Amino acid sequence: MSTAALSQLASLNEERLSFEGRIQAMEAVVAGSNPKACAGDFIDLLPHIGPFITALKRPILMSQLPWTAEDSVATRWIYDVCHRLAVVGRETGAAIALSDPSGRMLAAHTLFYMGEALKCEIAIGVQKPHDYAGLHAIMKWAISHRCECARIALALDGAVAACTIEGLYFRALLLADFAGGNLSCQQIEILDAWIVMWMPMIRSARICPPGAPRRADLDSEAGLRRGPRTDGGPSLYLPQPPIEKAYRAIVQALHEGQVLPEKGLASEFPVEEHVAVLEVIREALARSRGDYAPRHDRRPASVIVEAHVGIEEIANSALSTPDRRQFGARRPTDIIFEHKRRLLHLVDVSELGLGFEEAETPRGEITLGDIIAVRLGPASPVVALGKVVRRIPVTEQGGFSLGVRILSKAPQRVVVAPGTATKNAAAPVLIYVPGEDDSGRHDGFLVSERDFAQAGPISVCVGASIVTLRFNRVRDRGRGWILAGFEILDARAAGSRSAEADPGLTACAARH
Amino acid sequence: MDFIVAFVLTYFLVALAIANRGWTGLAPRGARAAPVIADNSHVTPPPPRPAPAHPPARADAWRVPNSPQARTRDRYVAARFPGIARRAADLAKLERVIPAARLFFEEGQGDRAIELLDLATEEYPDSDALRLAQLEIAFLLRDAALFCDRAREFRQVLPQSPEWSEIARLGRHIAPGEPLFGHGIQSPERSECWPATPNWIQMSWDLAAEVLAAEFHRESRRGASHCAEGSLDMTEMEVVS
Repeated sequence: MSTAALSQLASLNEERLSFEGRIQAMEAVVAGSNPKACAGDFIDLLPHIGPFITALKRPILMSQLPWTAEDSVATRWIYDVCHRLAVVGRETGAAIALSDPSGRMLAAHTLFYMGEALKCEIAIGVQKPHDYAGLHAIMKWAISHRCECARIALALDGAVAACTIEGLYFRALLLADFAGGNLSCQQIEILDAWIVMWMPMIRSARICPPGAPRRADLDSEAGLRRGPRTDGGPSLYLPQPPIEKAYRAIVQALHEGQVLPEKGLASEFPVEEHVAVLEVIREALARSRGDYAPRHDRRPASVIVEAHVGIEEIANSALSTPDRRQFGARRPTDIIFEHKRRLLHLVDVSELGLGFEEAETPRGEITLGDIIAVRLGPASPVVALGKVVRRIPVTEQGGFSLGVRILSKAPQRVVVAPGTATKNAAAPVLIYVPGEDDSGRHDGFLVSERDFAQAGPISVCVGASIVTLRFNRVRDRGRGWILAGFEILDARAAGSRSAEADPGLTACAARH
Repeated sequence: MDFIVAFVLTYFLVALAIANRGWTGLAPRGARAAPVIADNSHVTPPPPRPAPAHPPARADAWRVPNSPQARTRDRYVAARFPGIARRAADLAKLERVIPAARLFFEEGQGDRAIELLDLATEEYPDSDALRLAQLEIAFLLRDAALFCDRAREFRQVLPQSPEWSEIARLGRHIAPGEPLFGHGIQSPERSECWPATPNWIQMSWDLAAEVLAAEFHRESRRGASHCAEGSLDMTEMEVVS
């Protein structure tokens, strides 16, 4: 390590220790007889610790490399500090007189730190139980003092943001909702930047708007829920139109070639990450409009299954015929090349998804957007093919909880006629993913990004026919793969004259 | 003596007025609905923003080739519409864009179809094919506000288009009473049913491809005996040793 790096590390450690000392002092005051004495110090801390936290996050989030142990330690430190400050803020707020002018600032800062801590859970795992009751208590206090909409200037990410207690309250609840593993650390920062940017537009309603809007039950210990409350308790609803307006404004800005916000950490992330967050918001908005069916029942399970990740591995292992590849058995090549299997603990099942827990695997991490297949038993013909849509740490030792959305329960490897495929020397590996509809309009092919980009018309063997098709759209995509829609250009019998003229097609038909 | 008393009184009154203005006179009267509480007493103000190196982006800065805005727009188009366009200029390929928009619409992603055509129209505002396709999708989505909005734009940009009569015919169905579309002749029985659409979205009249797709689906499912689909039955699952 260079001298400059060492001195930078020493400086960072010194600053960390300094902040920890200040927080410890506040904790001591809160535990003593006069908690309100630390209100000033508490409010004064944000403009100092905020930029330091951003400076810690920037190199971690901008790096394309896997996280190092130091990155994990730094993230854990950010969580601990924000969590402790939220506790200090709550206890100080509870102790000061309700009419104290610093009450609003205390409430705003406390809500801010709660949100910051929640964001870290994507990296360090969900820290249950969440203090939702504490969040609701602050909001109830603000409502009773009619200051929930009062604008409060907070120094965030190098600029002054116009916040409200109501906005910061819903920010924390929304971050808790989205920090369940379906956004990456970069993406949650983007979402947070948008929430802060549009905070003045976040206004709740006491009466449930049409559809299934998100709802906060003020007398509960739960986070956001959906739809109207039926027991008549006090709830706040998030109306859709302002959020949709904000969504459209962000899309319009991207049409004009601008990333929003224009400054700050989130503006430095790739456009592709912004698009991914927009997609998640679009789905959430559609769900709030009531366009989505309710979630299917989950059934608990407790089995170990072997998972295959990536198109090549799925095609060669999970979808190979049972006589060639006994489920769970090790092939001679596995032993020679020390091929280690990736075993996952299946913990719940529904018709649309699978929930896994993954111990630290010797074969590399499974990450958001990976394509994954599991055969559900030695005798079972069912191979579930799915996309990893949720991933969150569950243990300090590196285990992860994975949520997989099932794309198909009957994927098939397709034989491609040699020489008819892409500009690559090798024929593409294709996996046929049938849709639910018998018309075939929802069918697709799983194909690598590279093959999709280079593919012209492709001939595949189906039964006694040879079908020429062309990919024409992307139905879904993830890390290195695309689920491509297609159109059929031609179909003919394998023995027809045109097929015989092409030795590749004849060979293909013979193999099939 | 009276002069000194008057001077001292005036001094205090002026000082009081200045102090009073300092507390209350800074904010305009009309801006008190949502009080801004700046904790000037406690919070150190954030560092001032550095002056921008270049003037703020205008809404059409993306039209400048190779500008940062153009590059951002290109990356957005590629990420949002993979497989259809790798950069905004690819949206000129109408034979690809319009069928793609139609497929989005058919798969229940009407908003995506409209956005794709919006982007393409921004690139090529004089293309009537793009605008007509967008109008037809707005019509099929039964979105009267969107249809009227796009029809108004169409009339403004392409006032001499021979397709206007067709647009007006659809407009009278989706937004009856809208002055933009005039009062065409409609028999009562015809106005009840949904009118025929002009196929500006290039839907194929040839059903062969759809028949082939259904056959492909059936053959694929039949041919894969070892890949039978089933429900996720827990009894099928066994522990891997």
